[in-house]
Amino acid sequence: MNIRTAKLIILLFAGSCAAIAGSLFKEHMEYKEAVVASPFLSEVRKLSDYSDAVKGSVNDANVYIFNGPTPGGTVVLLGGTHPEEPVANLSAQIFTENVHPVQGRVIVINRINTSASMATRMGEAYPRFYHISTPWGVKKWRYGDRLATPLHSWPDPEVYVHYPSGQNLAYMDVRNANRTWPGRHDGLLCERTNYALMELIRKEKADIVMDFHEAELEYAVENTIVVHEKGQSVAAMASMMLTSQTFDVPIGMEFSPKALHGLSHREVGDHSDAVSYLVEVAEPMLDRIRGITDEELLMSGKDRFVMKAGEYKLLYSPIDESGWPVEKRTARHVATLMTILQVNNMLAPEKTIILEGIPDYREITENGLGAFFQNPDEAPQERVFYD
Amino acid sequence: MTMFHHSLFVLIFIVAAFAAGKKLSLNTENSMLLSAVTGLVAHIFLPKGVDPRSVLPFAEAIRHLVEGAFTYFDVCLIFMTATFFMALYKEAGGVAFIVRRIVINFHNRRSVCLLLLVLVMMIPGAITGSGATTVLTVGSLVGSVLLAMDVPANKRVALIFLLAAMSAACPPINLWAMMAAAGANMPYVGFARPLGLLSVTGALFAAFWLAGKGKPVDMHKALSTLPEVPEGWNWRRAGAPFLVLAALVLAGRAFPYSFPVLGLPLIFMISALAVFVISPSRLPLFRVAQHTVKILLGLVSIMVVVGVLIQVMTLSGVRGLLSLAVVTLPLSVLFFTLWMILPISEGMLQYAVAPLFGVPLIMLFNMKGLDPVVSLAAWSVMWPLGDCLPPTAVVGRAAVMELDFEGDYYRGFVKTALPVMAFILLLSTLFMVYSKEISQVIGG
Amino acid sequence: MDMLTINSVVMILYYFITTFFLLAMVRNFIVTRDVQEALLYAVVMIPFVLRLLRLK
Repeated sequence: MNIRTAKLIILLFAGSCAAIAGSLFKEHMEYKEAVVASPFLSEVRKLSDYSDAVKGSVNDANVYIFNGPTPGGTVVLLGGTHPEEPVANLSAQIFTENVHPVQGRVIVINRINTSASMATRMGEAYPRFYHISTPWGVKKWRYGDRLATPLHSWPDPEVYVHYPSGQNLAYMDVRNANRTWPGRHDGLLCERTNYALMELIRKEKADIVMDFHEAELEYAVENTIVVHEKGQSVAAMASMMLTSQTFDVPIGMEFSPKALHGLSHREVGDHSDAVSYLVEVAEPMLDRIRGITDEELLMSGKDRFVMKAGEYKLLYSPIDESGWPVEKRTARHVATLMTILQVNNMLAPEKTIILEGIPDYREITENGLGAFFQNPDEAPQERVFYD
Repeated sequence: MTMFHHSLFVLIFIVAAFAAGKKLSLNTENSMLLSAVTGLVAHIFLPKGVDPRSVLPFAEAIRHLVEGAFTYFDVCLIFMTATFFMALYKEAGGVAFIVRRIVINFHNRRSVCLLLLVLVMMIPGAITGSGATTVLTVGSLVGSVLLAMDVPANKRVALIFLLAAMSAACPPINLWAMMAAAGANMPYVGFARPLGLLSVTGALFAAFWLAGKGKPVDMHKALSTLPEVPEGWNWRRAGAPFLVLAALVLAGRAFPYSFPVLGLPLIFMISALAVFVISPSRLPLFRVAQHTVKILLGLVSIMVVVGVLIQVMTLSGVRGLLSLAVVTLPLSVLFFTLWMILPISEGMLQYAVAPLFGVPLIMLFNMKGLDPVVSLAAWSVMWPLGDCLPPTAVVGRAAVMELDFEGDYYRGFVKTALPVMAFILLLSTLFMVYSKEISQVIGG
Repeated sequence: MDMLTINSVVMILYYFITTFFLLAMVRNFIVTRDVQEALLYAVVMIPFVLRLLRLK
């Protein structure tokens, strides 16, 4: 075979691989997630309505606003901060699709870092999508990265200097929506996104901000509520109630470290009147010691390598053959928020928020998540949105 | 067959394919590509254990290969732009000018000259976190001075490699520590002192051990072996591109909220433009770019292929198997073996070792009551020493290439570097074992 | 010029840098007589092409 023929074959081979992969990347990036907002939706705004910092950007998210008939407090729910933690946006969407506010207001953003949900994390061999069976068919979501894609935020600095603390962080964290709080109006994408979110929190006079997350079992901050010191008593009581009455695996409570900047539980509390909470739940898919990486692991949370690490007492969360299924993880987040609201209503009655229509822990774990998502093809089109 | 067996067999296929590739006279990069593809095929066809698993369609398998190729895209771009900048500078005659001046000014003051060289070598790696960038930007320049100082070839290449490794470890930017800290959701804070202490000690030890003694430099003889400098060069001209480089890097650091984020590749390209502007003769930009890409092919392709391999290993559970194997070792065994495991794994996987082993090790050390910052700093000085080891040997190969070293890679270069490597590894191991005490002393 | 415009210009410059080195690789791919080298050029070019097409 002469060199020209060899080169032609190589080019064809490489070109085919690039074309196949490129089409899958494109499909992933362009897939729109249908959201059927609950009938109690008051309005849908864009994040850019609060600040022009995100206008025209991919992170100009839908802001779903639900006003109850009686005045009370305001809670802001943030989903999709890290799109490699799917329970974060599933939990938020459970509220978007089911909530019935009786008193107070709920503001939900299903995905605060849409850019990060448009590409999977390189080197992690993630699936592109995850699926949940519902009574009307299979519903599909984009699985993503922890960081915004360089297609929307390129380049990174040599070292990321957090604003306003001046703390040095790893360069890629400038694309991490939970390292760029409280944000900068003219910074890079995630800094601008978080700036706009802070504007939303301030302008809507939020009392509570909840940021949903998941964490690897090797990570010390696990199955816990991380709270700004302003919410100490609420979080402590919520964690006790949930541990004693609802969860099989206890949920802890810890304070937001004062020296660790850029995270929502610190900066939202420091830069607004709101009390900021962040909840973590175990997700074996995020552990570096995990075995085969696929959608099955993501959804079932079952992994024998992670279990083996547990036998060596290397984990901060228990795990057994039943794993950490997506229903259980979501149910914990939903129940945690509902309990925090319940406690907050007792301690700050003037800021009461009463929500109905939200499934409880047992309903989600027993019926699965599919029962709580509506069919976008049959729903009134004025309530169907795309994230 | 359990998932453990599955991942183990995939690993065996990967290793066997690599060996077969080498046997078939494929180069390291193509052998590794073959091993990644073989690993992927093995993963698809081998039973995956008793638990249910998702189907992996053919197109998705291809997607994984291509996605892995992106893992180090930014690092590759830094390599290319940094090398392009230095290649232009060399082509313009700047390197020859500086080397001749150093020889003329410092030929009778060896220690001062060595300290100066250490400084020159440490800066690029300290600000970029990449040993390869150090070698590719200033390696040949410093190598030429060492030649003029009568340092033998083996020691020359060993020293360039070791200084490059220490420059990569040197704060403020240590990519291993940054990546592992980010993976463990730990702020990159408190690393400067332990990293600085270890890397500067290592660099000074390397410089004086390998080049501290030698015959006095015969200036006229040394000058006669160095290339002639084109007309029109002076210190102002020679310093301008580096001034631009330093100014852009420092401006980003000094005014992080008012100076735009340029990123290293663009900073190197702007500096390259400065070379083009100040050069006394007209420079052939595209020809130099072509040459840059050609000499960097081995380095860049290994980064791309390692990315592919890591993706396949992660997909098939091999990465988990290896990480699990390391973190389940007893702590005492880890103390006695990490000095070996870390450089060897670096040689195999490059920066990917930081999240692979670094993150579980941080969790483990934290759990066992050791200081995670000082421990991670110690590992982050050990890792770059593996950059001269196969199969990737990125910085070692870059050093060999930049210095036109023709001796034996292992018996000449690596063997000469071994005593210094042993010293640095020992020092780092002590830092790791006594991390708690050291953090109290230096405020890690 | 405001910071957002500057950031956009910087990003566009990165696409130019990517194109510049991709062209150099294409040229080297064309002239090389070594099959192994050609294969490596092709593999390395894939991320450059997909980035330029804004697919990854």
